[in-house]
Amino acid sequence: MTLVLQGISRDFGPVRALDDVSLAIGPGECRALYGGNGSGKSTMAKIASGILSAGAGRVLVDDRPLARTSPAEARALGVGITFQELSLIGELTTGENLVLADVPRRFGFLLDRRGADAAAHAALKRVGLAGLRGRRVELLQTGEKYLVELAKALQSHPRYLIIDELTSAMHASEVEIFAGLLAEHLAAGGGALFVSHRLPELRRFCNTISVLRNGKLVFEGALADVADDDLVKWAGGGHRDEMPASRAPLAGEIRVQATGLRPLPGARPINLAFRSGEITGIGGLPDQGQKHIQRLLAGLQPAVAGERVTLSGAALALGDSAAIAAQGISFVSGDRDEMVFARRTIRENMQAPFVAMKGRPMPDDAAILAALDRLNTRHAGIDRPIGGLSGGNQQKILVARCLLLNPQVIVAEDCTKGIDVASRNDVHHLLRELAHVQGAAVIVTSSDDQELAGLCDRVLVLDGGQVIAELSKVEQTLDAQAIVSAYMKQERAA
Amino acid sequence: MMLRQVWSHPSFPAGVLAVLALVFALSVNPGLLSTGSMIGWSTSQLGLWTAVLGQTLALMGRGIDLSVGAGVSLVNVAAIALFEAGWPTAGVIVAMLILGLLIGAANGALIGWLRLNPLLATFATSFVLLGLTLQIRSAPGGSAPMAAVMFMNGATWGIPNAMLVFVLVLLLWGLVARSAFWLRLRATGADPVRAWNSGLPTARIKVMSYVMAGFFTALSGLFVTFCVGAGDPLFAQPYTLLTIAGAVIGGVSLGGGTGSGYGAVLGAVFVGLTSDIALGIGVSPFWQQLIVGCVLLTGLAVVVRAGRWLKAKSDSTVTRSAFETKGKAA
Amino acid sequence: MTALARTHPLRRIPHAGSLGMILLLLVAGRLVNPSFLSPMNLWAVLSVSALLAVASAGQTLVILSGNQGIDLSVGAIMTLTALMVSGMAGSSDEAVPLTLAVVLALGALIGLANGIGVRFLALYPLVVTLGVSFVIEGLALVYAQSQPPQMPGPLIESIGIGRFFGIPWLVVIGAVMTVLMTLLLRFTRYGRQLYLVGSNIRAAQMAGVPVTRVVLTTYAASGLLAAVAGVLLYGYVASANLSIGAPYTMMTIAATVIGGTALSGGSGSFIGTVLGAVIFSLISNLLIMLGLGPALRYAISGLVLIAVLFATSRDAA
Repeated sequence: MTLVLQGISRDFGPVRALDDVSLAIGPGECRALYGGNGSGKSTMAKIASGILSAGAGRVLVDDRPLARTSPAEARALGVGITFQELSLIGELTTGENLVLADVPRRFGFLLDRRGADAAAHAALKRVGLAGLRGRRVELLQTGEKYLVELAKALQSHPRYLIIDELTSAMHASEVEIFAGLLAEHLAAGGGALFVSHRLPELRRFCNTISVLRNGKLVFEGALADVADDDLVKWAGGGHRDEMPASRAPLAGEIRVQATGLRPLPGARPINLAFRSGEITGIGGLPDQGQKHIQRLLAGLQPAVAGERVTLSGAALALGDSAAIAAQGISFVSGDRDEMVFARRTIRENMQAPFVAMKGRPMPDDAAILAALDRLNTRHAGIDRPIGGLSGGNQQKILVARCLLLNPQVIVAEDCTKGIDVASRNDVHHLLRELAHVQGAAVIVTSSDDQELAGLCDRVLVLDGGQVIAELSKVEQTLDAQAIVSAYMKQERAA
Repeated sequence: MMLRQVWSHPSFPAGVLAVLALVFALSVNPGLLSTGSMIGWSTSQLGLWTAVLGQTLALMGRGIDLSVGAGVSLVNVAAIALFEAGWPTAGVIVAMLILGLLIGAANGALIGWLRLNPLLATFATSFVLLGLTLQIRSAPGGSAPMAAVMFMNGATWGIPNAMLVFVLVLLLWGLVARSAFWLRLRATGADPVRAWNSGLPTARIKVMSYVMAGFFTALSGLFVTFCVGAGDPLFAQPYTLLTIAGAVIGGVSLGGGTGSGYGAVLGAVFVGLTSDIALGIGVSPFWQQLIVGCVLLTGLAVVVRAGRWLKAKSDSTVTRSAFETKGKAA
Repeated sequence: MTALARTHPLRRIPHAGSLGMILLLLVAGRLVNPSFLSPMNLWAVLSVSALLAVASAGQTLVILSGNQGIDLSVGAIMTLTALMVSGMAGSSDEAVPLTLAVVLALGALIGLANGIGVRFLALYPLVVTLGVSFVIEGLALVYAQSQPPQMPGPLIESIGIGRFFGIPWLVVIGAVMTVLMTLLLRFTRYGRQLYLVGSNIRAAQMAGVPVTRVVLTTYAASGLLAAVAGVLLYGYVASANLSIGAPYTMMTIAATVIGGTALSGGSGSFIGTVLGAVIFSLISNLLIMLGLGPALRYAISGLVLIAVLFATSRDAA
């Protein structure tokens, strides 16, 4: 009784994403599927669950072949999947989402409302969200959505669970719920394929590992047999994330002064200042007002009454993203749906802010290529559509764009979301250089506290729209544990 | 809680608008509710009210049906042609329902299975259907059986039979709206990719939505036939645009997944009433379209904006109360 | 990321599909009727194509702007323009400049109204432009009632059916329009911003593109270009009536999409639209040459349109 992927190959146009990869998952086994960006692990997960067809090779679920490219069939065979980009439909309620694939019926065609509600209740209870079954999914918070996604995957009682980057957007307490359900699933004789970039989580949940690199299987075996250094190397990077011991002169003059901010509706107003040459992180539990602050600074959100922001003393035209971009604030988000012009070429993507604004000389191809090289971006020519690249490489191109702009302020919203360790390091190096060498004020958020602690010079921890802690690298108060304990303490006290 | 569900319902603004239009119409022409008058406007609108339900099915799956007008017309002239060939009424009805299902299946196959863009695919089929319609009958004429026409233009206990028939249509729609299929269609329309990833057979669902839309097109064509009593290749052509306008005013989103058939009917009632009012207050026929157009455009803007505002308000209440309960529990 | 650039050789010829389709239609036309390839018929087809291409220029911009962008008011604007030129300019040339200024400005204003509905009221373009077209048709009806249409004067007529060194003026205008539109889309700031907005409006906003300005400009330009097409149509038909422009709404959409512009926006070119217009016109011409009645012509052009759509523009899976 195993889930077997046998000799899987898959091409995307001219690019070979997977090359003769095989793996198997037995009862009680949680296998890590690990690799860098574009290594093919998401493709593999999608083939296993019937979303994508394999160019060559086959998928066997307990010796029965997955004959068609059909998530419905994979589901019927006993494979459940949680999607990194979610499979929930925002306009429907949580309960409706849970029964979609297998709607309880009366007379064969009418929706059995009571049965549907009972089924949804039972499924959501497992993730502790039974009370939310009447709420539309688009109104849920990020972590809640991922828990619902998990409940939905478990709903069909799959024997094999494919988990694609589920935990990266979850908060610690939510990860605990996941851990419990996963243990239950494995103890009942189920198998799981766990796709993730995060080494600590791989170590915690998995017992075996398959490592992909450029679409080829490079290692397979017990997770205990491999060292973290090897994993990082396999992910495509040459170097680990070495912290520069001494830094360039920190914290220049105050560049951004924000007063009267109301990060959450109804919260007391707060004042914040960001200095040039400093990387400031904004941490805390999800949805505590981080988004409002960043989006306000980028002009992507209208100001609430009383909010005022100055850049080097000059008032910002809040709510006007074009004007704010022209004033020298660059915004990068890890949500590529709202950053990337997928159909257009890499060159056009890089030039977009210059096309948008008057009076800035358009970077030529040499400048674009130089910026891309700085980030070790892999591409097949800058006149190709950016949509053909892996997510991580698209993300690097977006960050490289900041390099061309040479902005006064960079607002980076979870900008390394879902990209591999090596790429993440490249992005970190660049952000540091922009701050410490070019003197930009950098304001970052991340769903990963480890990243915040490593990257930032200073971290503000938010809770309920208020700054509850300010941690600083210079004062040696900043590490991931300090961030977590700051907001957890708040959580427990409340 | 219950109240919020009422005013945040996508059809609420259309309902308000339809009631306002009705009140205004009555103040202009109090005779509007006399049996004779009701027979007049219900028989002239029955086809549109039914056709808008077909359009709603197409829109719900993130499609659109530009062939509604041509489809209703084809059913109309084909039915008259069969009557003239001596077919019995029941036979014609069955044949026309099958014709409607076939039209829907053709649209559905092009869109669901061949993955053509719905706007262009149904535009193309509308040409084919219009061609067939004109081939069968290029000018108004012919006649439907007297008994059926008399029935449709009659009244029972003072209520026009056309309205009673429409109540049956609404009951039929009630089954559609309560079906498991409807939920799956909403999911498919709201987000086709995620619906497919969730294991829904989205292509088949889309095809089915057009087949069912074809059924309502056929019903509409039959109603037109029995209400008008003759075959007219051009009578129902405006239905294409009127059903879209009615459905959108009624809160059905062109983006798929939201709205309801009842709302769409309310929207269609509003659209129909506006023309009747314009005639009722003695607007010159030359000015009628301009005035009706301005009213519709304003109504559309108001309804859609109001609908969104109400929904946002309701949503913020939901999230705020979630925030507060979280605070209280803490 | 390993192997690269093994594209099919035919893929490297831009618009290979459209060009192949045109070749096929020409061969089919020759088989049906030897006079299909006569210079007279070809100039006639090209004139009609040029007219359709000009009418489709605005549609192309709007569809490129993405976000469900579509302009269903093109036909109504063409009708209104034709009627107004007819009514205002009469049969002389004196009033033509003023008339043109008025109708072009009016076209742009109507387009701007569309843009405002789309951008500020955040309504679906299909709904806004449909509603506006209904109003414009009403306006045309009122106008036609007060100013009965006349015959065009010599200037308008020569634009419609006259020739310039043996080439129909319509074709000359179409060619100039092609060059201008291509320059506009490829080399101006507006053109490049349009592709960005069409490809991803949120990303465009974040990059600092003045999205509102781009959208309003696009719809206004579409109205203006539809008005230009209305003037040409009036000259070509040499009379104006209330339904003269109506077919153009869907024809412009078909030409644009057949020409390879994605209905989802952000990719496509005007050259493609021109080829799409030629294909559409060749099909109509071929069906007339076959001597079919209007009913069958409708039915067959519908079927051919389905086939062309199937060949050129299936939605991505």
